[in-house]
Amino acid sequence: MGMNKTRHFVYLTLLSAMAIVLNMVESIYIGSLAFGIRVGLANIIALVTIRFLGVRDMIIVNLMRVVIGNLLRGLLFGSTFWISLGGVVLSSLVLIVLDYMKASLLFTSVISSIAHSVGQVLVVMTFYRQPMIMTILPYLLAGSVPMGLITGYTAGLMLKRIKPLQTRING
Amino acid sequence: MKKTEKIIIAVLLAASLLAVFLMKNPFWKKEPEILVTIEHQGKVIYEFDPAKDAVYHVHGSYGELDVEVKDGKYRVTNETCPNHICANMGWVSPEEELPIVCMPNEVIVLVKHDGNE
Repeated sequence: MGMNKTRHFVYLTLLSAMAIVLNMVESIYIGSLAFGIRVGLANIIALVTIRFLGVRDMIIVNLMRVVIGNLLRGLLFGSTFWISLGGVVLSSLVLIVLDYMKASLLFTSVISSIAHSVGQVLVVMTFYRQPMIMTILPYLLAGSVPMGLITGYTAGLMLKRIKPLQTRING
Repeated sequence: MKKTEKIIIAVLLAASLLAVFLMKNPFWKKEPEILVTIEHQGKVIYEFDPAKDAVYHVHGSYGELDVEVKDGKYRVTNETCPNHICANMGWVSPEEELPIVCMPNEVIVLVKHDGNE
């Protein structure tokens, strides 16, 4: 990308800030809908970042989202922090693989939202020694698919709107 | 979205819904048997059905105590201990999942779950 270094940095910061704010707004105003199913609004930003800036910046945005988002809510290094970190790490890995495979946006979104819930459950299973949390997985998976479609669709809308921005920078 | 991707998502959704259905299916579910255990120094000394009225006499580390079962609830009575915390808990039903603990006697009355904990 022929993007100016400062410009790139500003976009990275803006996207991180959006991800953090969405994460916090979601956890404060929406919370979990049922059985711990959440919309995962911050996933929109992860999808936009991987398309707009690239893989490396997506990892930065995701990690910033978890660390700073939890820091601002006063939950840093608490149990929710590690659980959401597990989710973010697995979903980032899946995003990297799917980006490499050039999968479509909606599919990437659904699979990464599934990976997010699987990662969270894996952390609870292994580090918190609660293997029976596994029984929540079918509910989470059934919820992840529509939520992934919602976030993927929203990310598509957002990418459509910031596309002129990208061409203006590169051109 | 490509066709294979649609198929993968549909299969995942179907598998998860099937798993939810199987887990919710009453066919697998048997009525869990509720048992309440009385432990002394970590060892189970009585296992009783809270539906049956009875009185169990326990020799604790400090003194004697009785566990009275009546109308599906149970309580500790006639206890010999300094604080009477166990008796002050009053009647406990197994749905509440509250353990009655008597520290001086090292006696715990709690609901037992079979299988995983």
